[in-house]
Amino acid sequence: MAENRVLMNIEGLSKRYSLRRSLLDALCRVPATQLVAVDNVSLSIERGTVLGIVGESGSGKTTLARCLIRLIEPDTGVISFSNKRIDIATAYELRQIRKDIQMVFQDPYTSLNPRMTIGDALTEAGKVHDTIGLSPENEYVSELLKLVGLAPSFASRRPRQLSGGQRQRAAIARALAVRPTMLIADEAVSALDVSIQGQILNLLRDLREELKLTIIFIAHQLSVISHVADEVAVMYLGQIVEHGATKDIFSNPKHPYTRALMAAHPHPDPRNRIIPEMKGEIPSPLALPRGCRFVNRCPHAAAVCSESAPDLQTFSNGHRVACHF
Amino acid sequence: MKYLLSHNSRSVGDRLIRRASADRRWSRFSLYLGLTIVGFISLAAILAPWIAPYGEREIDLLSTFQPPSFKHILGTDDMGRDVFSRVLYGVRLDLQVVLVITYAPLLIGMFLGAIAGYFGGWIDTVINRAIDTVMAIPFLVLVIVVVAIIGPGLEGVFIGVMGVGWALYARLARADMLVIREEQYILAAKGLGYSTWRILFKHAVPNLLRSSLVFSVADIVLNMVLLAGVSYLGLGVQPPTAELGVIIADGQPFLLYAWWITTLPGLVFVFLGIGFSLIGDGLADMLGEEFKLTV
Amino acid sequence: MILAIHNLCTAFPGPNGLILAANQVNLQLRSGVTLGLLGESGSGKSITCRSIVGLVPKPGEILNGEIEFEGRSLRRLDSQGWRKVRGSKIGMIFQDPMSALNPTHKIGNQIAEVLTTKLGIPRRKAVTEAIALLTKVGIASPSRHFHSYPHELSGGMRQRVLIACAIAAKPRLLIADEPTTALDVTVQAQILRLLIDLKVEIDMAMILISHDFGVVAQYCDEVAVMYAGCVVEYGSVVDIFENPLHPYTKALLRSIPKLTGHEDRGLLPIKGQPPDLGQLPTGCPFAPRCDRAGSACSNVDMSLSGANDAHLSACPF
Repeated sequence: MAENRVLMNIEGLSKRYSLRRSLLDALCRVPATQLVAVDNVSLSIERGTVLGIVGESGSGKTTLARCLIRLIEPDTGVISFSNKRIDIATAYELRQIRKDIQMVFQDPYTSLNPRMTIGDALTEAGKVHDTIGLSPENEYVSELLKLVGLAPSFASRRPRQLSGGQRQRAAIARALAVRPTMLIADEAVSALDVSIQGQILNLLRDLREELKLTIIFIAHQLSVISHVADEVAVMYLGQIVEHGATKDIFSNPKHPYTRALMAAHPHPDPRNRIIPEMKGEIPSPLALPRGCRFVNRCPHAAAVCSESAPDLQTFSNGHRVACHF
Repeated sequence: MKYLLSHNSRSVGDRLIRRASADRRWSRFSLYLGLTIVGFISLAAILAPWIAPYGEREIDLLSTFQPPSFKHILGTDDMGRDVFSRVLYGVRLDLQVVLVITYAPLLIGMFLGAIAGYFGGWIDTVINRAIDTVMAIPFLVLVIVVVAIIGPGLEGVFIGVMGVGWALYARLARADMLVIREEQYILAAKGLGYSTWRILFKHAVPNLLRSSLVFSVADIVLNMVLLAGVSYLGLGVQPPTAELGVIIADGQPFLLYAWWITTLPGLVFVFLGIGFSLIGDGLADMLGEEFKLTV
Repeated sequence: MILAIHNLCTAFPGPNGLILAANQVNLQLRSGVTLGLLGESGSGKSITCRSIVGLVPKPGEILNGEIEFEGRSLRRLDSQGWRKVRGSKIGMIFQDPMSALNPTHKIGNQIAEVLTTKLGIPRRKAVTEAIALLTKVGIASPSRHFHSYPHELSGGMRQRVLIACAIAAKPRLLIADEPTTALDVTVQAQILRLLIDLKVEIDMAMILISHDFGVVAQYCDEVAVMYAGCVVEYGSVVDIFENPLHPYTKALLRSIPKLTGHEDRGLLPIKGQPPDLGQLPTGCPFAPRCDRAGSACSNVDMSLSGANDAHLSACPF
């Protein structure tokens, strides 16, 4: 029973990039510098839930998302998706799986082909995966547009004739055109105006109800995550430092990094001014600190922190934290 | 919205609008002027067999070195051939050859460049080295070498230009593709499970066309000069076939007392060149404007 | 009053006539005050600031209005006059710290250059002063980083260097155009805190442009809310956030995602699309998206009024 509820399971996913060595270094056998983008990430996502992944730039959240459908090839790790193994799928199998997992990207200005009308983009997706079935093309297109709150007349427009919010709706319609079971939204509202962000967030929430979608929602803003996610994973330098139910994370953050992120969040309340808790910036992934990766920015760092890296410990309510304390 | 502008600022606003629309009008004007010049000359060239008053190689030794008159609009040459008729046939040949030696390399170059940029890795390395090698060969020298091997004629020009001309288009397409490859709509197409060839040719390549097309118009002018130059040197089109370079070369010894044989065909050549340049400028401006609106 | 803007109109030519990027902007700024210019994309907040320093991008132009800085008009300055104002009297910081520094020069020399050209300090003394400035903006081991090139620094550090350049000549006014939009939230807090501390230390006025209600609430004293080129509301930060008058400000406040979003999922976005500056309705530009819009809205002239002079709104209803 429990097995069936899990839609996607990720175990020990890692991605490293080797930087190019100079010829001299290669001859002298200097080992190539490695950039750790994603480091040993394990997660599972239940059917019909929304997992929020939050982290600053360089935390590896986008690399992780792209590894999931192998837009980037992961080095190690097992990714299973409703009993299919994505990590060892052949090119043909992968195309079938990608139909079930669709992505929505950050920048609605470049995620749609400028030379195609919205209608053409939707029909193409429908034809390639034959989700268009026997219905006439324009009916199929207008049904998709209606689903994302756009009038059927948008079918004949090109991306440049649309505003940012409308483009993002069109990009979501294209993702839905192949009838996916899972949506990966990578910073899908970050490039939009605040007054429009809510429209897209509400749309995703409605679609999730209506189409029983499972969603991975990636963002750098905690506030956006708190509105959509059922579970939250906080990433720092390629690792998950905290993971749990949204309620638990926001009302009782356990990792000092999560706490610092919340403390730095600018509240729209002029009487309650924040004091930045955290020093410095995210270190270069080329020169990771020894021990806990957060050690040199952590306000509570102790001797043990720079000696050994903490494991993710699981608490009784499923809340996982990677901190010695 | 109601603007509460003073009289002075209204005139500043009017000036702004006027200047912007004057810019737009100018680029449209240069495009249309270029199209008119090129269209007019090409139409005359296409209709050459029907509108030329005399034959291409029709010799009339009784009327050599006739200055321009109603009978011979551009005069006659040393063998009494009608220069106007020869120019019509010459432009006809020039345009045919130039279109082939411009657009065949464009297709080949864009294909190779697109593949190199999209796939990267060893494919890119091979194609890129080929581009570097070819770009290092001086054009004219290559044509001369080819001519030395297979003898003078159009074959030398075709082989020479085709062998080298693709490299520029390949480099252009490759550079554009390196950018387009990272665009999110390409990533989105991969995510939609489209096949690589569909992504490459349906989604990426149409977005490469703009810069190649703009460049090709400038390239037409260069190729025209090249073809005429090679023929002028006696390595390309061979007399008595009419070709602008050949006609100009033929008239050169008589420049001092029969100026029209060289000068008037030369003027036609200049007009054609200006026409293509105007099209190129107008096209670049207008495509640039479309691009600006996208951003 | 250090800066006073009267009826500023800045326009760009558009396909169907003039586009007013700044429309009848009136603003006043006292020394020592941080004014937040709050608005979404296309609201005219950047263009207003660029108009102040005479850097409106081509083909735009100031149509109308007066800009007074320390009692003198900036509208009629020639390039010589501007050189004495920009960088010395008015400092500027732009959004993108990646491209605002010259990649081929050491950062220390870029700061020293400001000191030698703007203040006429001899080169040797400028170097010591530049190192002192690097310390002041919170760069660790400043004498080592003096010799760094921009690409060797992180985004936050580059923004600190830009701040050092902007305050090197101790300007009277600092204009910061979305200084932290490209930075992470934890770095943003540090940079903005630094700016506020420096403002107090140098005793200058500051204009902070932002699209983020939270940033403005946290760091500004006074706020001007802009929409479609117009200032729609102006007041102290507490007034704006606790007693907003204009429907746009109210709607924007309701639409912000909050950290407590998990308690009550509903977000109340503003309906419709952002305004198209080329095709604005007559009267109030916010009317098509406003819940309380009526037929009278097409006669609104967008001038600010209010019960007291410290809190003004462009909505008469």
